[in-house]
Amino acid sequence: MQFGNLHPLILHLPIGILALAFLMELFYRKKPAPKDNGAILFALGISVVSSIFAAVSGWLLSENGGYEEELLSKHKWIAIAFTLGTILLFFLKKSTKKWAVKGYFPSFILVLLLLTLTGHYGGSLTHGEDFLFKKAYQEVVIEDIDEALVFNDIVQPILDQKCVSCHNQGKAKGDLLLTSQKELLLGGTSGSLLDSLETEQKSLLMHRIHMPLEEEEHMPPKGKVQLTAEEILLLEWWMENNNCFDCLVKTLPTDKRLEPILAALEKDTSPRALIAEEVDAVSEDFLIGLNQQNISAQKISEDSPLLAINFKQRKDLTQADFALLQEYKENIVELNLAFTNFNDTLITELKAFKNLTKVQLQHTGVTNAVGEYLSKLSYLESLNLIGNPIDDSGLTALEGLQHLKKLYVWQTDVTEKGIASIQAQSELILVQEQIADSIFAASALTPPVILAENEVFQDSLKVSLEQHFEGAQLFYVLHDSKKDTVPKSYSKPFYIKESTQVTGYATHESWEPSELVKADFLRSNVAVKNVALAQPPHQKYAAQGGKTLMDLKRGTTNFVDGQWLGYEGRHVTATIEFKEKTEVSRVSVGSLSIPNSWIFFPVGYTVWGSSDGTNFNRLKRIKLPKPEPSISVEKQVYAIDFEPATLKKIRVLVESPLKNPEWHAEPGGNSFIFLDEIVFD
Amino acid sequence: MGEKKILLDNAVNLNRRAFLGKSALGVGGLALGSLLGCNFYRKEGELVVKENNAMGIKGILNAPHHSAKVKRVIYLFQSGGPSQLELFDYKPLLNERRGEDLPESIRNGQRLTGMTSGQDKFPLVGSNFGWKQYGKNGTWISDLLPYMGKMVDDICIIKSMYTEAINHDPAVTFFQTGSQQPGRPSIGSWLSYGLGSENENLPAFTVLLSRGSGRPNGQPLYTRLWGNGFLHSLHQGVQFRAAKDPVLYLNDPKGVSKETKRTILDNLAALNEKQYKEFGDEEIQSRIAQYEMAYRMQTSVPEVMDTEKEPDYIYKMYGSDAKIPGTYAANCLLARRLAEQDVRFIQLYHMGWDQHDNLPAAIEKQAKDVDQASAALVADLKQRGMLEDTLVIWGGEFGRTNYSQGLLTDTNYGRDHHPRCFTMWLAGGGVKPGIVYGETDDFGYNIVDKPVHVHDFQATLLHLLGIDHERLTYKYQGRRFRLTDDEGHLEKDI
Repeated sequence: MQFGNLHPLILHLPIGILALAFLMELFYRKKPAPKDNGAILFALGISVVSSIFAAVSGWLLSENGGYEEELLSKHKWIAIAFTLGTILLFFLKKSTKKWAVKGYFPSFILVLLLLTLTGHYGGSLTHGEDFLFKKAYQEVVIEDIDEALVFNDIVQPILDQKCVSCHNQGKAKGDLLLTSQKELLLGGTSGSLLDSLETEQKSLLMHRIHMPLEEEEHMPPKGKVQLTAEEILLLEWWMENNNCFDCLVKTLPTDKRLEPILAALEKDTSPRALIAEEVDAVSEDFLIGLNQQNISAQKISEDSPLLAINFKQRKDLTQADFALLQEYKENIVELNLAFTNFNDTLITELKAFKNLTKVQLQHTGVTNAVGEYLSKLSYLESLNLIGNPIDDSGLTALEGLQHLKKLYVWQTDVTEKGIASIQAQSELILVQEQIADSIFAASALTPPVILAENEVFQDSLKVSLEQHFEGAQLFYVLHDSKKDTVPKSYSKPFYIKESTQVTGYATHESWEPSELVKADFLRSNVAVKNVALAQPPHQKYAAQGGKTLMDLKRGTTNFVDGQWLGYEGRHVTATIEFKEKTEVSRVSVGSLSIPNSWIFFPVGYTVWGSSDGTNFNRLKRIKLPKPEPSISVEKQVYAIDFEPATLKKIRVLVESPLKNPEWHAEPGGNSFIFLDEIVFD
Repeated sequence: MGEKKILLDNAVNLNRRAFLGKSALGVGGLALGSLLGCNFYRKEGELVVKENNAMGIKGILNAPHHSAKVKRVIYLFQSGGPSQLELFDYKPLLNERRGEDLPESIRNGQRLTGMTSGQDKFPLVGSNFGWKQYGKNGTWISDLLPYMGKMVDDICIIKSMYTEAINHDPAVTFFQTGSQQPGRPSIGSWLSYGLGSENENLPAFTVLLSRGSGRPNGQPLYTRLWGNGFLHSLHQGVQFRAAKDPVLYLNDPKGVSKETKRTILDNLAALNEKQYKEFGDEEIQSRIAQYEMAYRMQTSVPEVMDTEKEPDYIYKMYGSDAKIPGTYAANCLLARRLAEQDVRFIQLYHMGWDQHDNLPAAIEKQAKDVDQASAALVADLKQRGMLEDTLVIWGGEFGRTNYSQGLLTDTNYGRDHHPRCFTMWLAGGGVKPGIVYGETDDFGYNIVDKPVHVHDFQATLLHLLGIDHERLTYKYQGRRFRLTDDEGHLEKDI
């Protein structure tokens, strides 16, 4: 670090201390003697020392160059004069000579004048000559972007905002000026700004802009306001087109990325922007006052004078409510009267709000009479008339509205003709009616739910159908031994007495009938005394032991629900003892398959019967193929039919695949079988 | 200056930190503090609760930062991570190369969940379902979503969403609060805090839940997902349930008349007010406001929840499921009714999209749950002129992998979580209708064009509501927090 760089710090000391000395001087002038001259003298002394330091550091800083010479020399010499002045002042104060006492105060004024001057020139050096009296940055207003000049209207304004504060006549960093086309072409000490660099395909301008922010040479330097992504794109675009100085925007090729950026440069001529220019800012008290009257009043944005008013579906609006809005009636651009009691008696109130761009009148009860008042709203863009007794003649009044873009007429008496008529006047108007029935007309009912206590039953089972849709008619078919397939209308729960598949569906006028639902119910008409399991199930899936298979409850696809008996890597043999000898011709076994959880359907069943309870005969043996590749979660009930026999006991062997199949993610792992129910017929 | 004086100084809202701070500065600081009054310590903008009188919750912002495109949001959150590859992101290459291993060059070190990290092969799999082109731009939409297909000209599909989390809870929390760790306020709470409520009779932030048929026992949701975090408890989301009491503990106990209740509340408010004057705790004000809100909700909630009078053609739009309380369709219909009442943020959660296995069967059911009702909601808002100032969002917390989790069979497969790309759609004010934004590679694994981070999405959402996401902050534990943390930039092109 150089001592010169401390100049901006040190220079403030003499300014402050000298000002303090002067104020003390004024203060003590009116006081009776003895005057406390010591403190003032001390302050003056410090001023002298700090002035000298400031002058020396300033001199050193000026050696670095980059400053406008004429300004610099003014600043330099006045500063030196000022430093000498402070020294003089110190000695005048110290002296008791009459001429010194007499000359002291005028000299003080003179030194302060020098201070002001040197400060001003110093400031001009760093902040630019026009800093103090600079007009606020004049934004270039582009009326029509196509006709705008790329350099004058787009590029130069960017430079003016982001670059010129350091690259101007007063402060020309790197000897580069960016204030006009001529100077831009001249470049600075680093060379031409616009020609491509030898080392890369970029110009110096683009090179500096695209350097990482941390780099010393990145422009604008870290700490200054940076170029936005949009501004960089615009500069690049201009450079790519040979930095054309007198091209119009429309003559240069643009692309998708540039178009919205260019469009945003154009002066906003939307109704709201025009209104915002004309009206005054709204006082906060006004808004708070309205909110206390239960009227929601919101500024469109924090620095906009425009207001949106919402009457919050109130049913008690009177003229007095509208009177509250009078003070800023021209600021109001949105009026939400939806679901209020705003009817034909209040419509004259609309007259006051000539700047409305959005009006919501849905479900208020206004009639065609409102058209007259709406037609005066020349800025109107969006109008909601839904649910009001308005017809085509009400719309005719709107035909003169230049800005109208959206018109909602659902649930009114407006006809296709009326819509065509207003659209003929301007294609821009989007008239929204009810969304085409075609999309949603073919809506189907949700199927009913078939409900019963259990899926397996012993004597009879109560089955009911349920549907939430009020007025829907339910139908069902019982697929049992009667083979009656004509759907029956459902009115109340019914009973089934044999194994049955129940199907059902719902219908409703003008709706598509629902999909078919199915449910299977199994009758187990054999009274069981006891179930003995030859092998204990896996301890985690033991449920209620053998009883589980006879409890008439099916398991869900959730295998830990307590309805499943699980066996890991082994077959199962269950021996069931009937209460009394019964004729049996079918055994059905419920099982589960969840390959991802290592659970597979059984691969074989063997059934033995015993009429005396001790000697068993084999009745049937079934071998099934190994499980196919699958990851589906499924339940099944496998039926084993055999010659009818009168039995006291029956024994069923259910064979497990034992190991996970080859195709499984973990081949060879101990696989499971899960059983929930054994049913006899 | 004795103890008594210190107690009196509660008027300047002493909390522990301020107290210690001032003690350290000496008692002089205290005296100065009381001379300057409480405004010296608290800037207007930092007040937690602003005039919570009968007019409902006032937002911290007097006006939006810039003019808002939408006034309210309906967020149809698809919890579990819907598979973009079955619904919106058409990748024929995956069908061509079905069963081939995912090239490492594509996976590129992506971390995996514990559920597939053991897998030694990642067999690519395309959608089992057909695709059709819909709308003016011929956008590809799955046959699972015929209704959404028909509304495609009104929605803006973002195919290039990505997130940082790979498991459900952190991912949902990240979407809702901007942080994977629980504890921050969720989007709806931020909006309630920032913009306040337009309807003093209903909360600004409501939540509706439904279970999907794709995976009925799917991931649970936690109430903290609609929690207010460190914001004031007034801004908490209120869950509306599909039961006799839509909002729990709202109804009066038997035998308590409306008048009795009013008297109780008035007396309670007087006591609370007294307490507030003494201790200056903002939570007391909030409590008064909540009691009042609950009182008004006793009439407003049943009114909103009463969908009986909706005409038949409305039920036809939303599907007959809308008649069954608690279904997604019924919730969509309720969402529209809440939006009509100017509720600021209506959050639906539909669970069951987490289809690790049995995806084809599960997603078919799941898509049927949401397709018609989601499309109907957009259409219904449109025909009511409400789509102009309402934003509808549809999407989950992440996407699903382009390879099968577990075994790939001829008809069946599963997909694991995939944070690198997924699809969402937006519809409504300020959003370009009918466009597809962003693109993924042919494998549907990485984003190749216009990536949108969750924070970008949140910043854009706030922007549409007129909020600069960098300026809606809340100072808590010495740090200014915001929804988008220290990231997020606007997606201006949607």
